[in-house]
Amino acid sequence: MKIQNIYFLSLLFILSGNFAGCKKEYLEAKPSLALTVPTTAADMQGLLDYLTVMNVAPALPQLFVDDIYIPDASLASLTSQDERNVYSWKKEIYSTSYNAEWKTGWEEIFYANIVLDGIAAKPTNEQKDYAAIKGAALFFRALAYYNLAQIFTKPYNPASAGSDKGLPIREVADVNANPPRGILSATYAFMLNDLTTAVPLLSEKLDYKSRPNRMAALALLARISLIMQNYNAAYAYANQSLRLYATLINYNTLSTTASRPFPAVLPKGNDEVLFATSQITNSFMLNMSSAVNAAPELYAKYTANDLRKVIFFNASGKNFKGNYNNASQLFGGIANDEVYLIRAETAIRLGDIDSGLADINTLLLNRYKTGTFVNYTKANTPDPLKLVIDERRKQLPFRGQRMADLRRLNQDPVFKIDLTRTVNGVVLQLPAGDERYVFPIPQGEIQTSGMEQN
Amino acid sequence: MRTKLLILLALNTLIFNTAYAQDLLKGQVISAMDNKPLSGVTVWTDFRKKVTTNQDGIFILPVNNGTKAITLFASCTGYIGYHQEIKLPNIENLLIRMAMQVTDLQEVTVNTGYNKVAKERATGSFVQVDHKLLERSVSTNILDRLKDVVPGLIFNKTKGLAAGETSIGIRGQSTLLANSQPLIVLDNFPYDGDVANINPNDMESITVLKDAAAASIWGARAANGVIVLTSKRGKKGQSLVINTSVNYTLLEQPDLTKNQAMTSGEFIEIERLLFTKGFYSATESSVVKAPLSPAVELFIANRDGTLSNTDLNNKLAQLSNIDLRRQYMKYLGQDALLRQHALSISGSTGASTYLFSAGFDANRLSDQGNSYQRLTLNFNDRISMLKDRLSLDLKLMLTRSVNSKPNDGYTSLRMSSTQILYPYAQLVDDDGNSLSVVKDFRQSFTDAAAGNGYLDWTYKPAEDYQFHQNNAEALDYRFNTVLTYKVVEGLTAEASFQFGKLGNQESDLNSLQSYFTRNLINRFSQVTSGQATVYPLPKGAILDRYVSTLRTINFRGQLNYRKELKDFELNALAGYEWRDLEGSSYTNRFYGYNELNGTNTVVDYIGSYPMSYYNPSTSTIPSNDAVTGTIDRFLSYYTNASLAYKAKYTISGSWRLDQSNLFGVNTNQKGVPLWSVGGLWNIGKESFYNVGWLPTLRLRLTYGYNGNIDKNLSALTTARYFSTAATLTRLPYAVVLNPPNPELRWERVKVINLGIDFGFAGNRISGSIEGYTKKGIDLIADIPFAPSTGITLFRGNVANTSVKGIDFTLNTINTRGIINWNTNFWLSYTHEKVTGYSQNATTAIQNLTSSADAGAYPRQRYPLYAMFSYRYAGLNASGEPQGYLNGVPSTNYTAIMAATSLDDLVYSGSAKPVVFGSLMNTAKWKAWSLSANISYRLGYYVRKNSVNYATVLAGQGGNSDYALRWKQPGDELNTIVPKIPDSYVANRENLYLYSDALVFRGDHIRLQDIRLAFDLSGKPKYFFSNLQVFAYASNLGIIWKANKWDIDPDYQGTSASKTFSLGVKINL
Repeated sequence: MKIQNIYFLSLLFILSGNFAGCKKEYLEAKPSLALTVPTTAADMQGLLDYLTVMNVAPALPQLFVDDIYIPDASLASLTSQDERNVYSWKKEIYSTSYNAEWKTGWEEIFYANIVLDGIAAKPTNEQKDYAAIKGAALFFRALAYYNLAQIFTKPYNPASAGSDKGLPIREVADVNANPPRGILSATYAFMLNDLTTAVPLLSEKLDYKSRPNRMAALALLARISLIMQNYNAAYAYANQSLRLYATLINYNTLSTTASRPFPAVLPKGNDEVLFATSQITNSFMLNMSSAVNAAPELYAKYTANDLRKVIFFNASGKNFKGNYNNASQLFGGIANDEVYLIRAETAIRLGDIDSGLADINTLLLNRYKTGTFVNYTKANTPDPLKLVIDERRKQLPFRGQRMADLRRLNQDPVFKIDLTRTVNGVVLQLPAGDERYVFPIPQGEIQTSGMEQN
Repeated sequence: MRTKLLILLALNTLIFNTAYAQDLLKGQVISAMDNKPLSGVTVWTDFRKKVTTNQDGIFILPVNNGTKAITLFASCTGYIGYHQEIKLPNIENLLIRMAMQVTDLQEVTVNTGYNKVAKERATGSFVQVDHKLLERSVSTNILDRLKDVVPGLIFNKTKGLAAGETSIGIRGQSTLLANSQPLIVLDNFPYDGDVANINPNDMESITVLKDAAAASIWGARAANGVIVLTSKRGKKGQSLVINTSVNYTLLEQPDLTKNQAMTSGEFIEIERLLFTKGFYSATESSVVKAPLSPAVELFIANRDGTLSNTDLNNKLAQLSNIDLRRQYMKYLGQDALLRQHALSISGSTGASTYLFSAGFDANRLSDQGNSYQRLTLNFNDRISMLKDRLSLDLKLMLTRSVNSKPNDGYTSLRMSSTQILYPYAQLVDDDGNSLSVVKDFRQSFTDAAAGNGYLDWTYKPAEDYQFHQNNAEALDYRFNTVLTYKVVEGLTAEASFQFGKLGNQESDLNSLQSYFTRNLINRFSQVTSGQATVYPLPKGAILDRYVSTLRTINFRGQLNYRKELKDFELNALAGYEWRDLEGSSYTNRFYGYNELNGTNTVVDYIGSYPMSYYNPSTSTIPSNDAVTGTIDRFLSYYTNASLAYKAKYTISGSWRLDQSNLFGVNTNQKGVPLWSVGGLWNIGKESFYNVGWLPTLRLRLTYGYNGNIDKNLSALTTARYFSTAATLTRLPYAVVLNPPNPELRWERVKVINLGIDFGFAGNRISGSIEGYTKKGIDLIADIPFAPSTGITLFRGNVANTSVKGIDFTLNTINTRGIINWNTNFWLSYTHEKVTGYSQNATTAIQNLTSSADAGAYPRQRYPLYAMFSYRYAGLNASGEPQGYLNGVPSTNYTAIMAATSLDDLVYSGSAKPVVFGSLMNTAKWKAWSLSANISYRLGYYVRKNSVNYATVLAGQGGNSDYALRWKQPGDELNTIVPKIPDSYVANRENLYLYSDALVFRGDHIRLQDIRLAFDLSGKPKYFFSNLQVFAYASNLGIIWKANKWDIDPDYQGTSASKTFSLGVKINL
């Protein structure tokens, strides 16, 4: 072989050999800037900031409860058959094999688990850098389980929770795992565990209202403890939350004529709100200013000096406009008014009537026209528990809490309530504790995973 | 000693050249086909002295006396260039046989992009389209020239394709969700830019690689077939040649009246009906001032007593006479005019063989104001060095195009984003003034706007585009170099390198006069006591800029080996290549842009502003900023070898390993090895074979795998970032794309191809028949997943497909002599079906709505594009559509939908043509040639569009079948179109629209094009050597169709625009 041949071949060799040397990194390049295997704190935060999955709350139960009234003529404005079925208290709800409340809840758990899996894969010495994100992911997971449990499992009853069917516990984002439903007490224990782990990891500062914080985690613990009828715990959590942040909006500062009186929550608005979620968009929500009415019986509860009468409702009293979100989607998050009400109710239930009434007074002082509110005292309040439960309903309409309250209070012989509703001339009955308070699991789930139906 | 000799030689030459007469080389040129003498052939030698043969084919060339050997060249249009080394002194009466350059593909070499294979020894399935066939048609885009000329290749008319987008299918579709388009290769490297940037005039030939043996050299991207484009280059030994051409094409403007829409009169009658029902009362009191059409405004005025019944009816009658479509065609549409110029200069001097070409296209498009311009420059040069042992190929290609699109077209005319523009909208009045139409808000509101401190809020479509500039400039350049070195006899080494960059810059400028800008500024205007006073958006133009670049680098190192040993011939190559593509793009918006000095104004993207037209509604100022980046990397090793014995038997094999930066996949899974084997038996050359009437008979068989890839998938959990603009928090967020999938693999297609090539005696009839099967394995598809896992669909390697087919071609020479008449016929048959995909649609209606009409829907045992429908039982006596419930006609639509399972649907057949092909006849008489191509598509089904009362009852118009609807008892005997219902029932509409009564056979035969050309041989009479004048017309219409509704199945709801071209080509 001639000398120049050798030169040439070695040139070729160098060109190709050089290249093969860095081959490994060469094929490691990301195909798209926007793609990521979520490993960095920013990636994980990005997942948790996906509002459409992480900051949503169930909406269908609003049609189920007694705060709503839809005249027969307007029933057609509900464009989905499922919505009409819920309003008509049908046993079978779904016209398709899927349901958004079910799907979104599990999607939120999946996202939270991806983040938690990612953090778990970090070396131990780095884990502390991810504390806040881990806290947030645990909060979201607990919130999603809470939302699912209020619709798709039986009401929490301390006596039967050890045998009632729960929800499958998904601790990792493995889509091939198919855990069994387990018992309801385990589902609630899982939520409580997530939240108590999250509390110390989360910040005490309110920042973006779409991101979890310590107050929101404590408030959610209080909410869940109340549902579990563990009043000591509920009081303690509500108390801790309010100690950190107790701001209420004085309704006297709001416009009574505005069609959306409350300031927008996102990104950092509405000082009363601890954590923002939007209820899943449904057609009834978009017709709240017209066809879909508030129950006349609810509207009748507000007295003349109660600003909620004019801020929550329009002049006719038919249409609800007191949405904490300032958007067409209803607010479904956590705000201080609810935390005050939890602390008040649990204090009263635990026998501390004075401090319970004090909380009610603080709340209502900010709800009545200035100078018109007269404090509740032991003397002028024969039944403080009834007062607080009534105030709970008046303060939290269309916030997604009424379903949970009905399920809880129906277990109490004093507060249980049998509902009736007339749809197209037919009088429908919904006795307290009826099995329809538990929504069926969608058929698509049963078919694909074989999950046990309720 | 040496020097002395040189001087002596030089002197010798000088003296002898002048003093002595030259020898004369005499010869005759005859046609190899019929041995007849050829006149007008240019003959020359190394010494560049040119002569032309006389009518007996005789030439006489002076040759320097004493020359021992010369190379003799001969060239003639229509014949393959001839060159031969001739030993001198001269043999008496040198006979040169020139072979005709035939479109018959058998005598050519095919370019795979890696090497050239003699077609005669090729085992695989190739189709070569030479420059003659390419230049037969006229188009701006190179791929359009493959239409109806390549067996097995079809331009699918899939719905949902944007205008100008092509969907090419080569031998069916063997993928579900991954890329289904063939790989385009330009001058040996995959072409990743926009095909529109390639000038068709620069292309010498196109080779389509169809089976595993042909395409496996392209490995993991070859599953959909490969289209290899080879550009023209200079020819060695050729003196300076200049070719120039120009052509003009008229493209008829689309006939909008073919859009099957109801008439203005019908539309108004429906508005009247809806008005009486109170349909518009909510809109009338709409807080957001939602728009109402003029007719509805008239009804309101009439109801309120401000318009008499007579006046109302007169005005409505006037409106009924207006047709928006004709208005558009008259004032905003036009015939498109396409102009194409091309120039090429090529030749060979010393060691260098070069070609320079320039092309310019200037197209006026069919929407007024829109245009397209393209300039292409191309230079290539091959330099031989070291006594031809080393050659260097240099190639530079540059394209600049400007697509100007200020006019968004007919479909952009809307009353609002959710409402169509009423069909009686008048764009221009009788005096030629452009008129405003109702847009986004009620007329009364926009009319009053100017007086209330707003900018003019009216929308005048006929002139609005003049205030809009949209220019997309593409700059595409590639630099390509190939170094080839002959190491020893038979062994060559080559290194190729290509660098390319494609830049796109789009600027979209909506001036302050444009509706877009005025509307946005007005919406954000802050209103105090009814007057717009504060403008959060500056009063100025809005400029959106979109910039993207794609940078490609390719490198290839390859060794070629060729050895002949007695009766054996071995050809082998092995190589290594890498490709690196990096893309990036960004968009920006500038508010208050001032064109004159390039300034813009900063706006508040965070604050939430109440909308001027409805205070409680708030919005943030739209932002349009985004950045993207992509990287695609491939690393491949390949080898390919063939061994031929006595030109009777050839066996071939190939192997290739591709690796790519598949995201999150372990290195060992990033690659896929693909291989093929093939054999050829030239029966015609066997000694025992003595079938005189069929001298050419070859048998080919290949087997192997091609690959495909969906790079959006990953084995790890991947997420995609979305920018901040859309959310309330303005925080960037990430969405999970897919859960972890450790089983992720590349898609593979197993291909078997059996081919028979034949040629009858005298070569009058020749052709080939190929049968093939393609099995798609591990195809990516979606399967439903339990929602409790967090996902509802899982995308993985879960499906298989199967395609079986036949490609048949037949070329005949029908007459020879005064008239030369040739026929080229081809027919392709493809039978596709999905196999191994167990997951069907959950409901029948889901299958229907997502299949043939909207796109592919995989279903076991059926073609990917299949036509399913409900069984229709016609109308009942009251005009209601009937389906079947438990075998009995029924109008219980909910029950029918619930009871009809997937298996109950009527299956008509494939929604894509199963049989297709063309018949081309070419006749030549003296200097005239005439050719016509007739194409056909058979064996498929199309769903007829019909009236959907969902849109009708929403005041949004509907299909013209509305006129055929049931109106009175007895009509059910003559029509299938249901009566107008009181209210819209989705299941009723779906039953009718997806019923078998609307499914028809799409079979049709079309006169694709006609071309008439006149060729004039010039020299020595004229300054040119050849001149051609031609006329060409395409899309000439349907000759026969199977359907009774007079619908062109490929253009339902649109029109097939005819084109007429005139052109001249001159070769100097």
